Amino acid sequence: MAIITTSNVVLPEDVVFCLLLCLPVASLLRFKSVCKSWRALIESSSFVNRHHFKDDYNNYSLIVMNPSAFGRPAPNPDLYVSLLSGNSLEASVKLDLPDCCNVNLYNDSINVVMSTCNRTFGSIGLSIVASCNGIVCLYNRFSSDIFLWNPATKQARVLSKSPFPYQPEDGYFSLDICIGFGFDDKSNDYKVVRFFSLCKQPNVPTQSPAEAYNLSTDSWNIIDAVSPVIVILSDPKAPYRNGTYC
Amino acid sequence: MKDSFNPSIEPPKKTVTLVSSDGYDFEVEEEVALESQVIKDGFEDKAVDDREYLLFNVHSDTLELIIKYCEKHVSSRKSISAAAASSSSSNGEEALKEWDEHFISVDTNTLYDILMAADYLNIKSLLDLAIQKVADTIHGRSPEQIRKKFNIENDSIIDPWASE
Repeated sequence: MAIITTSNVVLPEDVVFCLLLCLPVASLLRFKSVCKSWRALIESSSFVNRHHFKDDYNNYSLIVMNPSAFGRPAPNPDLYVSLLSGNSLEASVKLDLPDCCNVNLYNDSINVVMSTCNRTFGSIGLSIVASCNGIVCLYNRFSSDIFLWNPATKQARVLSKSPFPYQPEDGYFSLDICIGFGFDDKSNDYKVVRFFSLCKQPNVPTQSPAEAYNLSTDSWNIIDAVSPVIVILSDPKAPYRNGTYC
Repeated sequence: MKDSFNPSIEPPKKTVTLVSSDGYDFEVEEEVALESQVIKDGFEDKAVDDREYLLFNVHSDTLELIIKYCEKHVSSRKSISAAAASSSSSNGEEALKEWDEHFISVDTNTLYDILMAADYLNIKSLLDLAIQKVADTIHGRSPEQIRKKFNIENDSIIDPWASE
């Protein structure tokens, strides 16, 4: 039972839930340390989902890596991610990945081949795979690491390494990797998919294994790929409703 | 016509009696009381002469405000839908928003009394209004201030904000 006094109040849990939903992310990060139950509430997936969809996040902007990073890179370039709004770049956030993520972010010695799939730029190995519900998926092709990064909370995590390493070997001379990222409503989980194209002869993909990563279990599974995948368009708003494309 | 012998008196409106925690009776129109989901649930099952509700958690001062809010919203809804029916332009919704903003601009204690009453009576729009107001007032506070305000014991093991 809620007790009302003149100077202090004890809020029922459902009210606390609604109250926290109204607060911006910066406040929530601070209020995690109020008490254990607030922390548990703020970190719960049901709260995170509700908080996300309460706001008008539907005004999607293009998320871009700041072009200033594409000049002559320093040994450890500062990378910024911005939103392209109108003709200007707004809401720049420094891409502050944990130390373990920064390995080989920049590698001048590698002969850069522009890849349409991975959208890499210049000699910076990091590229944006896709963004979905405020979470940005990044790929570092030099280390093959994939990151999920939340610019609002500045939290990043490196996905566990796939237990299925595909290397161009045994006569295969080409390995092309496509990566996609999105949210799966059905399993209520974020997923990353990787498709590989292994070729024995030019333009004849002979093998195209594929695997999917589930964020909730932090694990990779092999999936059946119907046909070789060359390009993945990761769209947070895939035109798929009620079982059909529309 | 049946009531032509006394045209000045309209048929009596159905009313409900709300009793505050400190024992005051408030007679309100049925549709006003039905703004509360708690009253609405099971309302039809109650006998017409037994439509009296004891609100143990709501003081008369607060109940007066709650009734004022519900009356305003019932009447505004009517005028908004009337304006829509006659397709005349109306700024009813904006006016109501302004009224709400003014209504909820109260001192902290009253705000929490309204919040708790709206939660207890389950009046969704009023609860949302009060919660948004509380959120506006606390979003910049420190965790320690929050604990003090909401009588929360600090059981966090790590408190990186303690030094601030």
